[in-house]
Amino acid sequence: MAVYYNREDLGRGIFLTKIYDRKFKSNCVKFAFITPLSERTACVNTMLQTLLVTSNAEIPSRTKLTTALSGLYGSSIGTNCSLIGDYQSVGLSASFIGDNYTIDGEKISVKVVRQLLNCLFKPHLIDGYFSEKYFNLRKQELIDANVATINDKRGYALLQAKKIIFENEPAGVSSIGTVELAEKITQEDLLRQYDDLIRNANIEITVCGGGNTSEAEELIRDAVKKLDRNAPGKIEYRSNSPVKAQVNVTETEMKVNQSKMVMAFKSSCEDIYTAKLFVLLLGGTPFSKLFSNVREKLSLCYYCSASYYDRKGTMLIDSGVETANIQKAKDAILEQVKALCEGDFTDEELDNTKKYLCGGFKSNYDSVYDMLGWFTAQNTRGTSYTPEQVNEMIMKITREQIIDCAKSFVLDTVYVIKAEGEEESDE
Amino acid sequence: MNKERICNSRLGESYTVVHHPSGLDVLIWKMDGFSTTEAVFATKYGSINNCFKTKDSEDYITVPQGIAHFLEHKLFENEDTDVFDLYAKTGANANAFTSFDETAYTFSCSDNWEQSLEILLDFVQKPYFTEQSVAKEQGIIGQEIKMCADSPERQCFYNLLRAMYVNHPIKIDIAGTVESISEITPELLYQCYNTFYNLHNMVLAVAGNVDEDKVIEICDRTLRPCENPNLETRFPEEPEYVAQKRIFQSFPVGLPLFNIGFKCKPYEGRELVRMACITSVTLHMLVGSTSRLYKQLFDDGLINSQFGVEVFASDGVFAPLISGESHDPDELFRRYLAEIDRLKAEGFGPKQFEVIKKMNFGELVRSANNAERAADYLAESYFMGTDAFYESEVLASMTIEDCRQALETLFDKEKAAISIVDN
Repeated sequence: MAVYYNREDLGRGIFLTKIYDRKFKSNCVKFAFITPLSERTACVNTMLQTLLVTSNAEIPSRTKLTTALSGLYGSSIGTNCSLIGDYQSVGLSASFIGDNYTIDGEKISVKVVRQLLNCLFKPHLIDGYFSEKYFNLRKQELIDANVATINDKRGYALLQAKKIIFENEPAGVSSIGTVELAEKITQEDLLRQYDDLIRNANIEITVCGGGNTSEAEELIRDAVKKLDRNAPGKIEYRSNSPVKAQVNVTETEMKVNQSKMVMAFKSSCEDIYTAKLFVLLLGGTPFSKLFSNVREKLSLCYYCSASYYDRKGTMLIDSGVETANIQKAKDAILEQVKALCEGDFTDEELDNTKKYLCGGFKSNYDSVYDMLGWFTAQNTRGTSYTPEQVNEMIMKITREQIIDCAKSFVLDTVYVIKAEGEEESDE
Repeated sequence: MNKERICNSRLGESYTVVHHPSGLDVLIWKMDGFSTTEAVFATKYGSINNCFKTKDSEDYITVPQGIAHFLEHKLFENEDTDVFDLYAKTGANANAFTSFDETAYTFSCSDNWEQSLEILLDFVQKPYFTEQSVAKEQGIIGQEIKMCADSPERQCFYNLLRAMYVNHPIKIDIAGTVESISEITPELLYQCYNTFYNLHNMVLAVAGNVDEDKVIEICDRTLRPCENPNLETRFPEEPEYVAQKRIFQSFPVGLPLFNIGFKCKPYEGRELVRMACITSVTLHMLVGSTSRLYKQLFDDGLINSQFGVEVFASDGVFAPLISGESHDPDELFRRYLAEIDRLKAEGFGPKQFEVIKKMNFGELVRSANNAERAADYLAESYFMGTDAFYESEVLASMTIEDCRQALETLFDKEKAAISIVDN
């Protein structure tokens, strides 16, 4: 692969990662501020980034900033918020086409990155506060986002389930908080949190794409050099979620046509790639145990898939089920987990799953965002494996390792949203 | 075998069109440096094509709603095996989708693309339906329909189509209804399959890491030549007026949702691509994120980051749409119509026009960054009767006068409709 990768420690908890592949016609620059997740600050951070992206001291109007970026061949600056185990990553990203693809050879990379840096480090403040107008709009937007979580029933079920699965852990916190928390946010909260992020958060800067961005990189280096920073410690992202003494079974009712069930299993398996392979074999492909048995053969769910949160050692199985079939679906899912624990899978099934996983990893090379996502995830694990190196490890995983890994997963939580007024079957 | 090379110097890209003797056109876009291969094998057959005739039928035949989508599900089951099990051996990620006017079978892979392409071409040409397998699928799709009924965004969108269109089948959900799919039989599936899954009505698009000669070799081996059935589809006559101007549905939502559309006269072929491109630029100038109206709506809290614009087009359908969440969709609608009046009188600013044109050009450059989008785009533009680069030509030659005319003719207040979903 003709991919250039370099990660540089700029000191004081700031890292610059460069990933270039000349085949790409665009670039992305991402600033991620990584900070411990807490109920008090998570939604303040989320709102803060929406204010920072709205305008900056040089272009204090949202419309003018958007117009300026659009005129740079549809460049954009957006927010990026994600949860990494017990940490929250917030910040801004800029996306723009390569300078060599502009019609008249216009050097847009420097102009776009300059605006990104202005948004991040020269916010639009009036007498030391964010514009009252934008403050009120973004606050209302955050409140609205909380209210609107019920629109997507599958997402809503997962959000509610995670609160129980990661009870008393930071990972159980929602990045948008709650309506009540959002309503309480003040200008002072935002400014305090902005100051805290600039001083104390780990800052991961990634430049990814076709490259030819050296001038823009110099701007970035100059900007972060000027920051008044404490030196934050190294983050340990992995923190397995403790298994509950008793399985938590929670059922709630809602006005829906299809019921939702989320089951969580926890493990202390340290080998994340074996765990990923196990989860995929169980429910991550169209030929997995859950898809082919629970959905296709038994027709118990419309969707039934497994996913793995490696930083928390937790596997989630979420499904859309007819109310009458909830118990049957639960039993069928548990049966498939048991089957893997007992080694009830063929070498061919395992080989096919390996191929599927390796193919997916390799395909990360073909998208700027996937490539950025891959190496960001590597950074949070303290590794810098290429997809090929991980694929080599995966191909060596044995069926015994899969069985041991399967046995390490313990049922922790079952969360169900039942269609209001419908009854489960007694059979 | 005829071959054509389609090139675009602005994007620095090119692809090959192979007119295969079987009747299928094969589009191959080799993208240097890419490790994945994306393939789309598609038929110009979607949920709206329920009335058709061929040279073998005397008159038009009408079938129940939802068959195109049902067929998409059923083709994955062969007589002797499940198609996903075949793909499992190659490591490819296979999928399929049905839209209003297209059904496409796709795969994406990093290795063994030749075997995956053989699987794709083979299974789509090998239908196998039984009473039992149809009954099972009715259960699965019934669950899918129920799940979609829980999505207020989807309800809001379909309600708008119902408000705009009086007779056109665009207003029916792509999956059909629980009732309509209960009428589906193996015979009906075979009838529709034999009509629409004819290579003369299909296209194969392959993009990314691919070898042209090998694709042709695989096509030679696996495609079964067929006679052109002279397929004709028909839609009920659609009046110019909208069925209703406002449609409301009560649904548990956090914030009211809205969709607003203008019913326009439909276009075809290259004119469709040209008008879609002009209308997109017009829509962005009118209410896109750099517009005066967007600023006012945003500043007054009438829209949020969920706001979007789209030119919705299909056979017999053309409509510029806006959608999103709003505390007061009716007020938003009123202001949208007022802004259209103002701009009709005052005109667009030339500076804004240049900005939006550049923005759209940047989007085209980005689309050549991604093999999946490239393959989809090849198939889509083929079915519209153009090449994948035609849009960049339209964009280059577009004038502000084109947009002024589009605003004048397409945004007719009398043909506007709003759909609202609220508690």
